Amino acid sequence: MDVDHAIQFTLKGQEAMQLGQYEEAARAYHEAIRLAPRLDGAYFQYASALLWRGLPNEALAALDRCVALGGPWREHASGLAASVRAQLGAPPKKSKWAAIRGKVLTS
Amino acid sequence: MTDMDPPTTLEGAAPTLIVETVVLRFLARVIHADGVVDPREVKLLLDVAAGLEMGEEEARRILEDELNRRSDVAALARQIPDPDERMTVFSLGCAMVYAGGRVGDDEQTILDAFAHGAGIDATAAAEILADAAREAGRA
Repeated sequence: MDVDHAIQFTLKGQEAMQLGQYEEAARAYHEAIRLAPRLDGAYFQYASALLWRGLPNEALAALDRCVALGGPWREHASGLAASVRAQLGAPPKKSKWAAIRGKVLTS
Repeated sequence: MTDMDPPTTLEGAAPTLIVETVVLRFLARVIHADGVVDPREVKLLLDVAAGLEMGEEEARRILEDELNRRSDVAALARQIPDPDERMTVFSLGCAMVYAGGRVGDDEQTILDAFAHGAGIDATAAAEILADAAREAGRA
């Protein structure tokens, strides 16, 4: 059954996440989504792996899909999406990057 | 509770700092462009991460992953919402190149990919790189 098979991929993803292997985790969750497109937790976990991979835009798309499915992960997805959007929408941190640049050039 | 039940908290679901994670991965790509992992470069990246106000454990997790699975630099550039901020981050990447040595073909390829993803034209990118070279005393 596809859902059972999909859950196996989410378990594989969780193992990869615990090892800090975020690309492998994202691939496993993506496969879970392919097998069971209504498995809302897989979207949340996929988004989590993408955030660790430095891909918040793609993560937000997955979180929005998770919210739209209206399942038990909806509140978590909504909360995480709000947090990510708040950070992406915050004022640019140009002075922060410039300060680091100065330190790097003098290192 | 099953494996697909939601967790009780969101802790660990995402890095603490979203944009800083993007920037740290870009800088790691720059400094490891030659594919050689030098402990001094890892130390520099951890120092940068501390300057970015990232926790060391979190930074190490991200860097270790980046060393094993290299990010698409153009995709990283597109994550930064503000075009001017992309330019500043590119400038930081240029400075990182000189901190790691010189601009070889590998480093140039990564900078070009970031500039392309960030929408920075070739002339502007070259000027920013030249500024970094001048400030690093390499011009």
